[in-house]
Amino acid sequence: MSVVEFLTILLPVSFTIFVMTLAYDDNPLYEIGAYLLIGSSAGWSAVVIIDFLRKSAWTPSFTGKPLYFLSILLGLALFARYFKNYRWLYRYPMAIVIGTGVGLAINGAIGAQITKQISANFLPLVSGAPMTIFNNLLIIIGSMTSLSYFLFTDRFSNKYLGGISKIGRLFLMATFGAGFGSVMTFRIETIIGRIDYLVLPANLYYSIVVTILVLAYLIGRDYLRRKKQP
Amino acid sequence: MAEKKSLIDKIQDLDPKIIYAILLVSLLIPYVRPLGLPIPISPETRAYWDYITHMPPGSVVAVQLASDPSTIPQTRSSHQITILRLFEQDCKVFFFTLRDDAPPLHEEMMKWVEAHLSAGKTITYGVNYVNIGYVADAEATIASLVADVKGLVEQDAYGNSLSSLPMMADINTGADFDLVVWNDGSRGIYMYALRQWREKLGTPLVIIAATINKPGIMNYIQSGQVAGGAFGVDGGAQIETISGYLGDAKKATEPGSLSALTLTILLLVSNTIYISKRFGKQPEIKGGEVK
Repeated sequence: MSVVEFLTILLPVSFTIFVMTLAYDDNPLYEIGAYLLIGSSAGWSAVVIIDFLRKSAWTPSFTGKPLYFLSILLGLALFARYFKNYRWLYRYPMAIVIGTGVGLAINGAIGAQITKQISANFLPLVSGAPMTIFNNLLIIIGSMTSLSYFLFTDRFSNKYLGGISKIGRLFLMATFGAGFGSVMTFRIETIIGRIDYLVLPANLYYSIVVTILVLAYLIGRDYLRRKKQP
Repeated sequence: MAEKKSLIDKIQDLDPKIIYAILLVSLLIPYVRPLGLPIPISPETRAYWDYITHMPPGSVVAVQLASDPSTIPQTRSSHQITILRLFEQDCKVFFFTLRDDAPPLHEEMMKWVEAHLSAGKTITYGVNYVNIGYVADAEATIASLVADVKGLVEQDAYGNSLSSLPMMADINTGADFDLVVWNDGSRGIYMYALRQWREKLGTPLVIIAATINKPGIMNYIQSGQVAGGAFGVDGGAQIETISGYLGDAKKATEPGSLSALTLTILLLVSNTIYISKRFGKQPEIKGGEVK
């Protein structure tokens, strides 16, 4: 095994275990792992983004599309924020970015997120399998009552109609619960992804050795700390 | 003399390290002793796979990858099996990514795909597939790609002119694609494709995503705007089960199931204690003395 191959296994294994030590407590190993990850990610992103700028703006602006250079100037204007006298300049690219983004989003959102989502609630309640009818009913009641929760008029806060928004609140709570559950599952699956990597046959030996060394360091550090305490 | 703590108080004051240790043990058990739990196929994953397998030969499919190194274990299986299947069906695949850290992941998955192609099957860059690599993560990028593919970037990820690649001869706008496979990772940017591609041109859209995005995307599957989806490790395991290809997802479902069960039990215990303390019998205070 060459030194490069050795390091290609040892470094990712070590840094994965370093970052996981946060579950024990905040310690220098965790900080080394976390800061190296942030630093290397930022460096990598810079290289990829500069290459994208070269391909999509720099090269075209010198090969028959001079208007593309405007995008580079607008990008540079964003940095004017850091100079007191020229601070106002950054507002122009920001206005373009926000204006274009919002304009594009609204254009597509009306159909995709409003009208089609409303029409998706017109579901059959008489034909189909009993379970489908039940699900359709649940979707319709859930949508209507959840929406009524956000109607703040007197009509929906009285004794009788107020019950509708209370049912809507239950549906909303169920939705938030599903969201919370999916966040937890997501976090667990992220950890599983790293554990899968650590237990790969080629990595397992390194994982065991590094874990033992890291645990020895953490326990030893705690022991010395306690010993120093009066 | 220190006051003796009740069991409830002890559980409430439990050191988080013990909870982490319990969780870690529940994660590791299936690695040591697999439980052999069944993997049921959900309707959305079935719909996703049916859509992929019914793409006729020669179809042009856009595949976007927005997973990062932390979320790729959740989407890798679904993603690479989908690409493999598309190549097996003689589809033409156009790759791009909205994440700057995704290009190496794409290259890694392409190696897996090439290694798993059926005997005698070959794929050629520029003929069967094209990769433009990273493009800026913005809705405007998708709008621009849909309006004019070659106008967005003139070169592919390897510096070739897009116009020089045979596959790109008939691909000019978003309307030239028959399907969009959107790997969202955990970004929640599937709206770009939904609003700019699906809504404007009617191009069918299927989504691969981390579990965290599932509740949001399900609204659009239910409404028919998204044709199907494979979500998280579970979705990957289902795709592995349906397709018969072996990946990493199937073996990761058991640690996921067991740790989710552990967390559910911990949540139930902690909430039961909270409720019993809140609504249970409170000590009566009379004249400054606790009775």
